[in-house]
Amino acid sequence: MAVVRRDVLASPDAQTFLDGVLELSRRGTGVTPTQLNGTEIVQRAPGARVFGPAGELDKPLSWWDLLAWWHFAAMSWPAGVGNRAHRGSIFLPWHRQYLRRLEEAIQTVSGKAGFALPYWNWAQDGTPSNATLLGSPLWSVLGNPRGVVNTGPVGQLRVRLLNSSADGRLYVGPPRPIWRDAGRGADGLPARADETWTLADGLYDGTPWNEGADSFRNKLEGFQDPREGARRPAPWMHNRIHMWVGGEMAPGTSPNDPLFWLNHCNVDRIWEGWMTRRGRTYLPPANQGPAGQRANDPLFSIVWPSLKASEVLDATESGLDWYRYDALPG
Amino acid sequence: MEGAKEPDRLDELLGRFVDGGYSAEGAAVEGIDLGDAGHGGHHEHGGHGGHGEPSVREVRYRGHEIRIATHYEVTIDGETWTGPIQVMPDGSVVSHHLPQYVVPSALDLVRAVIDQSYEAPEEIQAVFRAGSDGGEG
Repeated sequence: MAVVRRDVLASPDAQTFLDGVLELSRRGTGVTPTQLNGTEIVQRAPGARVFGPAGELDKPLSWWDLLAWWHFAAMSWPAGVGNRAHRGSIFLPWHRQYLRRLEEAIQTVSGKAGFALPYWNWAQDGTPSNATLLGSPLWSVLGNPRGVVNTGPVGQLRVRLLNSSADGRLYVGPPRPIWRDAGRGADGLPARADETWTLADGLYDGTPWNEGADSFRNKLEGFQDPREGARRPAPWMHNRIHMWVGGEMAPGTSPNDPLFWLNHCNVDRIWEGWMTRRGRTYLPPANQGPAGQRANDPLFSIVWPSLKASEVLDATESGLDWYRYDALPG
Repeated sequence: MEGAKEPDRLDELLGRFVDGGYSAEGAAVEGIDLGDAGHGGHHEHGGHGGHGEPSVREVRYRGHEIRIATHYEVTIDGETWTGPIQVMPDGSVVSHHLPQYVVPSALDLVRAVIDQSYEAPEEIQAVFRAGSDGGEG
């Protein structure tokens, strides 16, 4: 049954989302960092190795931690261009699969089969000042935007993995709260006009298929200014959300912050809007383009079965029957 | 919300993952083998400034081949910072250490690294210290 994803500020599922995040952070997997370090995954993607004191390496991770490790392993695993989840065509399909697995996990732990991930419609209000953004009602739901998050339900969240931007390593420590540094890295969020310009690009992706491509995917991922000939400060769209929030959202363990999922749900919504307008097409096709980014290359997954990019293009009732959005941009 | 008393879908999936030796779904991709990732952590392809290698931009202009190799030497408080820096075609820079950041210069990037690590709250810095002081991997 396809569920309906709604704006987090109006979604009846917002509380279930927060409860589900906390439940997954408390629920152990029995899988330790030491065990992960011994896997073929780390052999193939050495950057996914977890470092830390022996006592921490041998303590099982929570489900929430394991989800963050999955993301980090994907971005540590090089593809023909970019990695198995970013800086290439696979960015949108990979994150669609990833978000759906969290949605299913929360449906399981909450016992609510109708639960749908909410999205953060960050272009809703244009580009207000940072001062306005820091006063958004979003923070009353998601916890404080600056410093260690100690307010609201997210203030109870505890995580153990952290990617250091100083040395690039992935560390494990005792359970700790998450942190944010909103507004330091960028002034303002993407505006409705940025969204409109992004959607106006009719090419899903093209050569060189990476962060240098002139395409819808690259504009939405945020390495290319969507406003042709009207350069604005980088980065744009998806990337700008990570940089604007900062803190936990900055390094490769960004799924630690529940806000990661609300950002990507909105990114997925924009992609859905593009496909609704342009058709459910994907590039590069199965027999062209860089390895790991092609239509029939499997999407890297742990725990859950893997799908292909070509298999996740229609998440609605007419396809996978996973979800649809209450409203699409464009 | 209470934890499930009976095994549920997550338990079932996890059981398969563990019984299967923690194998990755979708690991095998034609054209990607161990050699692609087997020489270190945060690999950057194509002369993208990883592991002390220069960041290389190669373009053709009016029939001429242009190659620009950029090498950075960065120290923070006298200590060498070895993070990869990739120069984009327009001169802005990105780094795998802050994967979504696109900033005008290497100086902006290093400032961001300081903001997000050296000047992070004490709870965050404690994780880095514990991991790098005698930590294993």
